[in-house]
Amino acid sequence: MKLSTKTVVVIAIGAALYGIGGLPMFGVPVFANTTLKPAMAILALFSVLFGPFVGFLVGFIGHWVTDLFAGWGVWFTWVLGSGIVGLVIGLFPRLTNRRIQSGIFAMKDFALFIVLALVGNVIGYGVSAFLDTVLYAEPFAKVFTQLTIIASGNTVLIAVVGYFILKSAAKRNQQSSNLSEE
Amino acid sequence: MKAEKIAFGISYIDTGSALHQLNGITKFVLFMAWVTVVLTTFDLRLIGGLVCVGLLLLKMTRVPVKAYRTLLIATASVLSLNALFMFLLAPQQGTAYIGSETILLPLGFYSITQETLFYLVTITLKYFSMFPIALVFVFTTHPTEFSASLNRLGVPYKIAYAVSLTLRYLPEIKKDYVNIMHAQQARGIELSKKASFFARLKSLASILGPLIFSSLDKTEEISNAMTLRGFGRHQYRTWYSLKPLAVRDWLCLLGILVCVSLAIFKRVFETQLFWYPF
Repeated sequence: MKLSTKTVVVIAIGAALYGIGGLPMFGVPVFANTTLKPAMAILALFSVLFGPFVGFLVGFIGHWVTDLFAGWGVWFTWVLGSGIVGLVIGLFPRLTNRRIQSGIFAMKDFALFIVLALVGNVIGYGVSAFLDTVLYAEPFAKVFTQLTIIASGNTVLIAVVGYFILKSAAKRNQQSSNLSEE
Repeated sequence: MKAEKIAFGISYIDTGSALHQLNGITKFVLFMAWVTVVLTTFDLRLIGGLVCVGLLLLKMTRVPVKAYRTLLIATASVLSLNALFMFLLAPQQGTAYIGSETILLPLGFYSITQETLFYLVTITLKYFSMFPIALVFVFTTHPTEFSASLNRLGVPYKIAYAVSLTLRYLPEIKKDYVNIMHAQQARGIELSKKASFFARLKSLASILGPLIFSSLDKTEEISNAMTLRGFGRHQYRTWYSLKPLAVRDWLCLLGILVCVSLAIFKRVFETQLFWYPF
């Protein structure tokens, strides 16, 4: 595995942002042990900009940091879930030919972004919910409710906050890519 | 509002206790082993033991109770709420797992059975048993030593270094966040509860945006500085904070190994998932 120094730094900074942003003081509690984290948008952004590998590690390390420093103990099932969410959303640059990098963020890209966010949340936290029923003998009905709320809530949140951030990301890239010779 | 006044969870506190002197590797293995044992068991006796040992270890760190009292209360209330929701959504789960039914309070669908109460207590304590050990781990392990241990245990050093960098970057983000928040508030962006939910989400993006982009700009600087110092040139690296394992570490590791194997044996040979004495 070849990892450039830049990737290492990007992972670290993404994980730190996602980790701090996930702390309960920034969250909106909606259900038992379930908070909507605005930080999900950060995870989505790093995945979109740097691909699945960075996305997975930002989700995994970041969620681990949140759990560790919030002090409620590390819930590995959900840490893994965040990693998978990053991984799935990280498919975005492959599917769109890195259009964001050249400053284009069209409506169909936004639609794809929302679809990936939904799929990522359903698969990622679905794995968490499934492992919870096996490892913690949680009632299926409860984790299923948790999953439904998280997946839909996160998708809306990622879509709203992510839209503004991705748009400005595209705008920034545009400034450095559409120079013309005079 | 000063940056220091905003509490961002817990962090390393050096009190020089016996636990601080243990090697980072030992503490990380202890933490992982603890989580494994907690995951394998549904035996209230074992879980109760773990909770007691955990609280004892927490006391041994000599960190003042004040540092984690609020967390303790918050975790306890979160877990009780969790138990309540488990009951509301699946009131007969305990009966299904344990296989018998002793109704204490008949209320139709929401009948309270002895089995359900027992099940809820077991699961809640099971979650709670992870709380003290996570605190012990954070209070007693220095972030850099933690990454060194991760690397020593086989995690590729670049990823271990990313973890260390993450932990070292946290205070930086705190500072930036507060600065940007003040700047945006000065420009008239409403962040308090007075604004509507969607307005607040939007204004949150106006803080997250600058925060993320200024951090992204810094990646360039940091990675250049690291490259200049030769980071990533070789297959391996050494760590300043990596200590050799002492005799007491080997003794602890041996103890942990025995405990984990016993727990796994117990789970494999157990006939019933839940221990239920009645």
